[in-house]
Amino acid sequence: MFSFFRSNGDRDLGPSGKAGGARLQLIDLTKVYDESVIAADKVSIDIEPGEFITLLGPSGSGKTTTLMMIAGFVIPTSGEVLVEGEDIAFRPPHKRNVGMVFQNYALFPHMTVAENVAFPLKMRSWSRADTENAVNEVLRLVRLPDHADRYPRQLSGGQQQRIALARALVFRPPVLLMDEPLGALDKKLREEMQLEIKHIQQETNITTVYVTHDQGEALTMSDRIAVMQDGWVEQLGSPTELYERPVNKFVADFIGESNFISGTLTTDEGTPKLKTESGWSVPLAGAEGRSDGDPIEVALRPERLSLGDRNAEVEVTGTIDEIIYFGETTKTRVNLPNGQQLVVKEQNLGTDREMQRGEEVTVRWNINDMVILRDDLPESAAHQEAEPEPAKTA
Amino acid sequence: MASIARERDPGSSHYQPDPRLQRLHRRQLLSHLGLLALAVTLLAVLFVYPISRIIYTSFLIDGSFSLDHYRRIIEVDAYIRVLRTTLTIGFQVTLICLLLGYPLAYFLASVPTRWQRILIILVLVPFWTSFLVRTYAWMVLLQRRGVVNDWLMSLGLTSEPVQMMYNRMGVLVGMVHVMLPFMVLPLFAVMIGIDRNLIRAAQNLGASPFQAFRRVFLPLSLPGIAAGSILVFILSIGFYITPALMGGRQDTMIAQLIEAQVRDRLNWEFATAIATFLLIVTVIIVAVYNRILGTERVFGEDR
Ligand SMILES: Nc1ncnc2c1ncn2[C@@H]1O[C@H](COP(=O)(O)OP(=O)(O)OP(=O)(O)O)[C@@H](O)[C@H]1O
Ligand SMILES: [Mg+2]
Repeated sequence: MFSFFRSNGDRDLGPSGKAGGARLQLIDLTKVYDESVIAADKVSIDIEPGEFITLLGPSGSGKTTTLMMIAGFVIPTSGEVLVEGEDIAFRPPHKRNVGMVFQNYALFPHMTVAENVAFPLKMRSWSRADTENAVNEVLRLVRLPDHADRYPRQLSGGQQQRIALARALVFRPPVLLMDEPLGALDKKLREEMQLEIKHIQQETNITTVYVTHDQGEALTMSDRIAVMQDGWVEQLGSPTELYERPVNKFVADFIGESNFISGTLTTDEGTPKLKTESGWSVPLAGAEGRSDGDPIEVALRPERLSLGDRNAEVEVTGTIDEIIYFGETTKTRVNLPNGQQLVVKEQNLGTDREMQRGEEVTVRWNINDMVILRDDLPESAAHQEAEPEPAKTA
Repeated sequence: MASIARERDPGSSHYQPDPRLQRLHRRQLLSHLGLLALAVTLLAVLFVYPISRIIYTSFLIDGSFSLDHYRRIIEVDAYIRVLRTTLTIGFQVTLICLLLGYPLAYFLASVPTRWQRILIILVLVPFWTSFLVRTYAWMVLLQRRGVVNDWLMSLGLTSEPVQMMYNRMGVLVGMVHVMLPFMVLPLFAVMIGIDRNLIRAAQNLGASPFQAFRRVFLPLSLPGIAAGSILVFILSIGFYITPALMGGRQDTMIAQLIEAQVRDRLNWEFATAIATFLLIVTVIIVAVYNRILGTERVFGEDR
């Protein structure tokens, strides 16, 4: 539909026929502030051309620091930033050719929309005709073709966001960076913009590194997500992998919600079981490679549990401690006699009978719903798991 | 528990305000009016009345209306020359203050906040000593056998004392020293309001640090340049002590002329005419200056 990026003859076209973004490799990227604060700790991510990667993590986990090292505003203590194999880690920002969308848009208030968008082209001494064409085309891409002569303050938040995106795209950078670009928007607009950014990213096939601390946003938009904590990438994987197979407690808790059950591995009549301190034992799957007596912890998603009468592999009874109503769903916290608490999340289908606090219920789930976490593995092994996977074959 | 849905009655469109609300409104209105009256009175007594008196007096000769004072100002070379000197010195002081003050303000705006407070106090320290004392201090430093000349000679930079006083240089040194804070403070105030991410954005988009400064920071600091320059210029052209003590014969400024008319000749009417003339010229210059800097582009209304 858009000829914009395809008309760019000097970039090789990928298999899909779209102009490709660049391959971006972060290799052991480390930033230490004041000789003691480790803001980024050997961040290693191999990003394929056209891939959408999200850095997800709580405040202070080093997302912005990592992004700024790619953009050139933070100089890494050690490590490499390779764009198509070329190390740019120590290049000044203006020589990097990397587009960036800032959290508060950073539109120039003394320039019109057209002047803002034309700015990177002016810096690159494009001809007037080329500039005009490119500006018009990119404004059409972000669906704001009629706002060229406005000033940024005359635009709504969402419109400013689009212009910032247009300005970062217009010079056809091989890599696009975004630091919480939707942070200032309200929920509705945010969800709209998530899809829009995703579409534009797919349209232009630009390699994108996106920063957010909103897990929903990360799940919706990303090809892969890097979950960060204290400067360290805890897990790198597709949204499904992260959600279905979190490697540790932090990831299982940060993305979605989880119930955690911990104990030791025992084998009982040939089936592996998790035995809690209070003596409760639950059958397990996927515990190969561990031996009896090993400590083990599993995560169990609340929506995989049910209070209904369906068939299930595990059943346990308890009493209802609290019922929290969310409109489309209801969360029920159940106290088991062995001291364990389980949160059950169920759709409100309008057919369930009303339940009361203190009522006795049966919680049911399947063995495969339990994900064994790797927190208990030795440090090095656990970190090994978080290393980037080998690049998918193109 | 049954839920309740209340029907909205389209007829009951006006609600009776609570009498307490009306009392509150009346009290607010009174206090606003009181403040307004105070402001208007102060303005009238301290500003409008004196200036109208000055302007009125400037059209009188021995109590009757005349334009002769103005004719005299325009026709006598000496007066025009003093006016030109005054404006020139005003421009020179403003320019030097801007050249010195801009980097200083930029530095102040860039350091961490805890340093800013200390440095701002340092900028203001000169205000703690009397203006007269500072002028005499400069005279001690700059005179023929003063500290600066001693240094210059002992360093072998000159063989004989350099004339640094009783000329334009003396006036400019003394005035710039006094005026610099008036330039730095408005510049600083505007600069700390400039989002540094804009500079980063510019660099990210391909602008070298210098281009980022010239195309983004400088235009955004224009309101500060305008405010500081106008403040310094207006304060400068009314200067009296510095040119009187540190200037030469050619550096006579309009305030000295007015003083001479009042004290030596007791010619109040002519003195007010000179003052009015200066006022008009100043207003014109400021208007043109604002126009050229085009600050309305930054502050301006949405169109
Ligand atoms: N200039 C600096 N000097 C010292 N420490 C810093 C500096 N910048 C960041 N840090 C520290 O580095 C760590 C990572 O910060 P960073 O800004 O990358 O976090 P973030 O993941 O972007 O968090 P947020 O979600 O709050 O934006 C934090 O502990 C922060 O305090
Ligand atoms: Mg951040």
